[in-house]
Amino acid sequence: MSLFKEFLKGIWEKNPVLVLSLGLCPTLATSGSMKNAVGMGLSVIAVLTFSNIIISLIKGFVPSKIRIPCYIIVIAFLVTVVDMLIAGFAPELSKAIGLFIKLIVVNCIILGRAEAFAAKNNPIRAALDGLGMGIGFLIAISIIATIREVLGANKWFGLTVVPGWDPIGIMILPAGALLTFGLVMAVRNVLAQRRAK
Amino acid sequence: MKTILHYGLVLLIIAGVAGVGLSLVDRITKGPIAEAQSKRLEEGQKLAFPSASSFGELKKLETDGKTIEYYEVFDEGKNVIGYELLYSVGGYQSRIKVLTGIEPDGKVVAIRVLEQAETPGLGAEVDALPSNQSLLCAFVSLFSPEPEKEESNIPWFQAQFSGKTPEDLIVVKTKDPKHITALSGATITSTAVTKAVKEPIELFLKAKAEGQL
Repeated sequence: MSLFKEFLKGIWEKNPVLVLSLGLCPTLATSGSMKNAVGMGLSVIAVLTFSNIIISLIKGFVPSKIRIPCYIIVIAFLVTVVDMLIAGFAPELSKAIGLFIKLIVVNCIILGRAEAFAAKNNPIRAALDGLGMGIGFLIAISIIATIREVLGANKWFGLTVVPGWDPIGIMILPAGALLTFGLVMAVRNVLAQRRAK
Repeated sequence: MKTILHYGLVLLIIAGVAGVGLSLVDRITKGPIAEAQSKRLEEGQKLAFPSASSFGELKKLETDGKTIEYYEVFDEGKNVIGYELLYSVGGYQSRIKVLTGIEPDGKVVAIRVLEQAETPGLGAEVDALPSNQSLLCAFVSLFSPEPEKEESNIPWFQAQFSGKTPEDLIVVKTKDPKHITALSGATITSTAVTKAVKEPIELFLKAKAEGQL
């Protein structure tokens, strides 16, 4: 597979959220507003790319029987670094998404890609895979967040969309997250099937 | 035996490297993090008592089995013109920490929610600014050369508390300037913030009347 395709597959063909169904917990939790979704998406891109690189580099050194604890240490280390950097240098962002950053440790996209891809490929391919998967995650979560924030709060990035319209409160709640997620996934499947024909 | 040592060593090396790395990053970020926290508190102090010129040290008051943290508020002549009470209560899904500026008789000057992690779009609206700016207006203003209008930086929900006495601090669901109007869809958060304002004032005034200060 060409390097460019390696990068591209995370965005459409193997989108982590909409196709592989990985990382649903943070997707549902942080897609209530665009601000949170974008912050979460960017942090996942950073953590995923670096964790893939590191895990690809140490793959020859780690015995397969204890690979999971080793991956967890690497991921937890990176997440803590990102958390501290955001808290120190972007305090406003940290106030908004600080809680979610710690959730990345258990985001199964990261462990999933470490296990399924980074542990079997060279660092360059692993980095591209991480970047592509991260961007795919950001796109998916942004689509869901746009639908939820516009319908559920009548806002987009905190700005009112239609003045004077009373929004549908349920879309902001977890139930609205599941509804939106299912519908977006269905739309993606329909589009993919049409393209295959 | 050999494999156990091998596995243990690998784990030890990885954990060791991660530990050293973390302590290095901590060195870089420790300063800025502490600075950001104290800046947030300072801003909050100023907003909760705009007419103050300086604040005293953090003091603790234990009364009725509860602890209130407070600052004395001074004017230019170092006279005490009020207090700022720091108190936290449980909200819908997070601890809500509120700083309340009061006059000596207990009347609220202004409040500031320092920490909360309530539901975005519902409870988290306690921090929503009174901006009615729509997406269209924001888009248009991108292209217009006019300078932006100065906007209030006090969230409308928190602004309601200013000038109220503790007896007025009741949450109501229909708009009523005499009481606190709840955020729509977030009654629990609204009640919690109101409690975080009212409870410490009452405890503080009682302790003050008993001469505990």
